[in-house]
Amino acid sequence: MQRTDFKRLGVLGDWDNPYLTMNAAYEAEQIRAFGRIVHNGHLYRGAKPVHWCLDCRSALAEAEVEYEERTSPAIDVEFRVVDPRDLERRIGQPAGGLGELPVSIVIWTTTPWTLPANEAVALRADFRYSLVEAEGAGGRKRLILASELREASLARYGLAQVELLSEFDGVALERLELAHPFLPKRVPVVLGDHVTLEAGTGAVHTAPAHGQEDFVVGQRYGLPVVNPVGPDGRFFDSTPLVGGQRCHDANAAIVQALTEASRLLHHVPFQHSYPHCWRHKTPVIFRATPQWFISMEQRNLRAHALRDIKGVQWTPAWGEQRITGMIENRPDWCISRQRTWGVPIALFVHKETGALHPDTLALIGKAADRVEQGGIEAWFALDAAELIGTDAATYEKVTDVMDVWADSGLSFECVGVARPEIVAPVDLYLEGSDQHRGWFHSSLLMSEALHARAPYKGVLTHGFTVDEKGRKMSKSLGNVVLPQKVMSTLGADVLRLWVASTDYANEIGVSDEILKRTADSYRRMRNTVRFLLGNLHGFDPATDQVAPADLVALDAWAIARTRELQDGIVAAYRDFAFHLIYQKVHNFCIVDLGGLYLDVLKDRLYTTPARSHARRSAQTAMFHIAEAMVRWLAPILSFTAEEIWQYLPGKRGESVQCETWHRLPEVPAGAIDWPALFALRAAVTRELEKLRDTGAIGAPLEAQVDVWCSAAEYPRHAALEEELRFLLITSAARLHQGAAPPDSVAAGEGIAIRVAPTEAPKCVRCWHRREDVGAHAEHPELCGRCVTNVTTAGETRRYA
Amino acid sequence: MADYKQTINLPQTGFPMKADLAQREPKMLADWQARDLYGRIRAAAKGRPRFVLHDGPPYANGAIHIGHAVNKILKDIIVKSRSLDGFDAPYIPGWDCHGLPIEHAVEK
Repeated sequence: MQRTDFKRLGVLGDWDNPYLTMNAAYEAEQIRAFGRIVHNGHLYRGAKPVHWCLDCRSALAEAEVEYEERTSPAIDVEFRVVDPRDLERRIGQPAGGLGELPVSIVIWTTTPWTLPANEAVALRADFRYSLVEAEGAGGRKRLILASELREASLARYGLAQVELLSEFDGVALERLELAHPFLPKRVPVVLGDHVTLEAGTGAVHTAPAHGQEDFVVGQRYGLPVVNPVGPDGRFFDSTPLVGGQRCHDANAAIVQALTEASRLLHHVPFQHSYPHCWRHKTPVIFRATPQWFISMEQRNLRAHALRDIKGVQWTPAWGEQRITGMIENRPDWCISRQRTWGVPIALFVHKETGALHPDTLALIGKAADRVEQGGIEAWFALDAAELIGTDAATYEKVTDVMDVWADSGLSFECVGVARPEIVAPVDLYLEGSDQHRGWFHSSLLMSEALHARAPYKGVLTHGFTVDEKGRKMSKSLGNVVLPQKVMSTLGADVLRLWVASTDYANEIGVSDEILKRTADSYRRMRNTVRFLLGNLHGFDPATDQVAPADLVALDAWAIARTRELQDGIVAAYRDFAFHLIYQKVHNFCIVDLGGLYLDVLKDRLYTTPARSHARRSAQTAMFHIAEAMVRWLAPILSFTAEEIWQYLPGKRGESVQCETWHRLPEVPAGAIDWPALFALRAAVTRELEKLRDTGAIGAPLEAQVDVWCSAAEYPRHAALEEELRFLLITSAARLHQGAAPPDSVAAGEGIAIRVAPTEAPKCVRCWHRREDVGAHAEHPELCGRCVTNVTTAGETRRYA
Repeated sequence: MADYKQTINLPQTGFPMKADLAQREPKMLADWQARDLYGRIRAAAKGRPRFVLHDGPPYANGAIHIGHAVNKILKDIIVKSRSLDGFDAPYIPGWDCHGLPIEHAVEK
């Protein structure tokens, strides 16, 4: 389904043999690559919290969890500062100034049962915290609370503030030691951005085994991930205080222990949104389970990735900074998932110690061979004894599968086996700008783990599509643009032209109106090409080309201009700056060709004999322009370029896509100052417009022009001799040296012009008004040059 | 008045003014497929230095939206322009199909 649409876009590729991550050959190669990563020493077994359903007795994916309201006990708990002298130093109090009254940081939690797994208390580095002395029925207390939540918290505890002793930023307390409220252990203060001021105290109970954010902050501080809860939701018997209890039932025992230890400041039922199993509708827990990790440190993966990012060409350049920041800050990569579908982590581990089987690398190879034959099911169906024999008594088969980012992240390695065209490191990866976090990231880490190098030489990203007002597309806004609809109305080439015209590095705006304007641009380019093709009628490039040295000067200019443009276009293609190509080609069609060169050429093409030098010279230039342009357009307007290809004269290959850039002939530079003459032409055109507005003339050919030049300007404007009138598209153009008359108009330094209607008779053939019309008895309605053109091989043109 | 029309060279081409892309493009696609245009390009480019754009595997679900179109068209422009620039630029599209059945079922 997607394939049909992609093909319809005109995208050429090996659509009959795409690579699929679920091909058995790919999966087998992925397992072999995983084996090499194990061999290279990047893998370790750790633990990580996952959503766990007590009824499924299984981990749940995020998509299998739904949130429902639930009432839990919300408690405020004191964590005593172990060394008040350390606290004094940190917050700038005199040594011993706090005396002996204990100081506590207060946490607030709705899962008391996770307190046995507490390993830290998290503060926000940049929040203000207060050390306050307060008094209530139970006597005096010294508490540390986020300043913004101080009053609300004290009110909740029924305490009255006696004195605000100190205020400081959270960062001051980093790694301060606290006493666990009921277990004989010390836990540190850590800093995390997940701490908020939305509820509680601004200090967060942190149990890495029972929470995703807790786990992440724990990894940064090297906190232990000790999970005391079994798959059935009961605490292991060895757990103090709550051993053997179901976790949610353990809340009561915890609350009682806190009360007895005088650490409980408040306790209230609290309604909140809580994750539930989508299947059983029962509350799930976060529970750390054994998982497989790729270490960022143990074989220098992070350092190597950061080193090699610098050697990649990132387009746009900010991609480098973005991925660098992500690699710098990411935790170890947990690559295992508990799913029924995916590429297996083909390992055998010791049932008690969790150690890898001593033959692990060879076993991975055997597993890969089986998957190659029988797909991933071959692993899941495998009886361990088939591969490890009697060791199956002590070693078990791992049934985890790999993170999908490992599947795609290894594509550079796995595709190449079946498709030797793809050899890493490849030249380019190109995806949306969200992939610095996704595919670019996982591919980089996999390539570093395998080969200690980046998988790509260049990475290009594009932004996301929005409507013309910058809003996301949505059905409710009615601003969705469907590519299928564009293709079935305007055509794929218009869609392609729109893509080329955008500055894709940022958000890409699209709407029906934008596409309509693109279609207008398309038509203008198409018409330009059609003019070229129409006037190449009867031209055989094999026999009719005029040699570069013999070209009419304006035709030589046109070829030189095309060469210059081609250099810019090829450079822009190399830089992926397609919107510049669009602008350059569009301007070339409108300004250089439509507004100038082809406009001037019409007279020569139409009125000189078909085989004359004057016309063949023009056709030679147009032929090369068309040959160059069809190639410039081919990557963008792939359909239209192929269509043009079929109408171009001369023997040619079967498709423009098989060609390389057109080799434009080298033309002699010549001595003519074209920019000066084009400026004169522009000034004359302006004056002719004015004259037409007054009704004095209809077409420019009803006018004559006089040009006065200073001595300095005269030579360059005289260069076209009698052919100046063809450049100006007037019936006569006379050049004078010396002072301009008062009724002339200045047209630049040392130049003045005067346009006026001409009284000369009109030639019926070329429509020029010439005094010599009627001079020839046999052709009384023709001007002199038309007589030449109908009776001889044609007039001589040297310049225009 | 003598008839000088025959002595004038007016443009002549079968290249139509009206693009009619929506109708014309599918016919050209069928022709490219029949001629194995991609294979012909590979043959023409054989022996040239290689330029490899490695396609990222999108999830293989659902009809394409405009963002997909932008991505694939940009890739195609690059591959074709590198080919015109004298490279052998193959393009092997890819799809990622793992992790889909369960996620997909859940979303429904």
